[in-house]
Amino acid sequence: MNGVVDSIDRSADAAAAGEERWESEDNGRRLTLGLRKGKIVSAAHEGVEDPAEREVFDAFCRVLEGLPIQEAADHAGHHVAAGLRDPGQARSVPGIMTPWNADPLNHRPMRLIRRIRADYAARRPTASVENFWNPTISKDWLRLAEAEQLARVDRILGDFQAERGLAPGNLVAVGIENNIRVLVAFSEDVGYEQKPALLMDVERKLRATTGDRLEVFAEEMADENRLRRL
Amino acid sequence: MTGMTDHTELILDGTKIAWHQERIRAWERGERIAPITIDMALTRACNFACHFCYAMLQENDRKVINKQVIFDFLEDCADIGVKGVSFVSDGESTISPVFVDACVRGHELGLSMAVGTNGFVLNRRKLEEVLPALTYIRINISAGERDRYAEIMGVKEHWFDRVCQNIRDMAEIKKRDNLPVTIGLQMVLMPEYEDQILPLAELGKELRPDYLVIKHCSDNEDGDLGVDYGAYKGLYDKLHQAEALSDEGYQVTVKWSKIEAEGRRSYQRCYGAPFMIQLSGSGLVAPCGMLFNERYKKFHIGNICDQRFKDIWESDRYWDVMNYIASPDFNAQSMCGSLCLQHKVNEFLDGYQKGQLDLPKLNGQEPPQHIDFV
Repeated sequence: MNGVVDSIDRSADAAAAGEERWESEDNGRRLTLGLRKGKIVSAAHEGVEDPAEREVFDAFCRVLEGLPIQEAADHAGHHVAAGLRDPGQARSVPGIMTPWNADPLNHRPMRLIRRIRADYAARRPTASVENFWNPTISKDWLRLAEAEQLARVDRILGDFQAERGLAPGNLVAVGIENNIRVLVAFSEDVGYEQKPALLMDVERKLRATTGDRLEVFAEEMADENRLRRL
Repeated sequence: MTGMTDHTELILDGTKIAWHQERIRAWERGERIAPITIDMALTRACNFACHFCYAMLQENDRKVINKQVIFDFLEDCADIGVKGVSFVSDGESTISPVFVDACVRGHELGLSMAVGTNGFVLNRRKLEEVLPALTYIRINISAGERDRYAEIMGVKEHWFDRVCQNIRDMAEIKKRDNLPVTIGLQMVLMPEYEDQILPLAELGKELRPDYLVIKHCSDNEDGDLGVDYGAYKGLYDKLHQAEALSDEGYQVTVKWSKIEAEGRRSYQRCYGAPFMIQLSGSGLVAPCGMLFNERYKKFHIGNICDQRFKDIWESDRYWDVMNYIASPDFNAQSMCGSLCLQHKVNEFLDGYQKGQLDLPKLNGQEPPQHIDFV
């Protein structure tokens, strides 16, 4: 079948759980989402025979569960493209990688998700199209006192420095703001030119190790203009 | 929907990005595109002490942009396809000894050049040299009365008179030589400057620039400047009165789209930076001025005082940073200050990416003024 067809299915079990099933189909590939209060609680596909395409649909379904439908429509492709890429490998394009140019196989699942979102919105005219979704920080991390968070960061920094052949103490965590902003200071041994990329790499390591989207910052520099009032 | 600003001769509240569809298409294909516009300063220093100044928050490791550095930079810009360079950013470029030469050299290279300035040191001799090289010059002036000017801009009262005279001279030179340069005034409006909205709009009517634009004040993600975005609503009547003072040859425009946004962003990814980057007056290359401070060092890409801009632009580091802010690793709603320079470009590109708007058909349409400054 060509084109996209959509339907809503309220099976007895799902409806009892407050879950609505939404489907969209394109050229024989069907995507089915279970939604509860605008949030995707289940995602499945069928009719995808090509192994490469199946892998992409699988990745989409893994990413979709837990996302609000608006975030899924806006950025599911971004999450998949980022998740499928090994950070150590070159991007598929030399410039800015988007889900559209990362892999043509992303296009169909993205269209299906957006179609479901449009259908969902059409039946709920009051549903907001605004998207302020942000990944939450895990309760495990938030439960830690700042000193414990810092100690954990220090251990990860220690591993990072060993992996990079840096001396212990080249990078030191000096504070954590609002549970997520990790302030890092450098020893004098670290060259000016090295610092930006090191900070980016440390952040990747922290996120990969903790599973939380922590942010890394250097220490703030105060205004050196003598005239301006601070 | 196309997302284009309603066409007017001079777009002061909107974006011209939709007029650069070739570059948008190249970006979509994942090519390494040159910025259309670069906003920069020639120095971090300033002779004023404006109360609202965002540059207070942008300190970074200072280096000196000398004549060789800026000439190399401008040549690289022309070479890779940059279209417009504006000397605005985080310092007062007119006090740099290379200011006039830089404007003239950029113009000779075929770049559109523009300046944002407090206007204090731009005497008649300098204006005669520099105005023919500029697409626009914008004077930052956030008050229309001497005493309040002194308070808000952090200078002596009589400096106001000198700036006003310099603006008169600009208008006169432009008229005398029939120059295409646009002369503008800009009020950075904090809610507590309400009493200066109408005096400044009246002053503009007397000084005869081409326009006065009244804009919001940006703040960082922690609100360190203390801008009360909710308080702008109380100023709407006065802002409408100011706009009503427009006449033939003098346009008063309020940046309503940003003021009404109350500091909020509708988007999370930053796609605008590769189209429109910023350089600090220290020579630092960063995606955005809000990321100049050493605190945001992970976003710092290079420095034109150390390395040719073309090499920086071609580097993997440049594209790593640009990709980071366009990815789920980044969220402009929670990790950025409010209403940045790239905001309108970001809105457009985000809507386009989401399939909410299309690129407009431009066949036969007259492009707006200052098209190289998106």
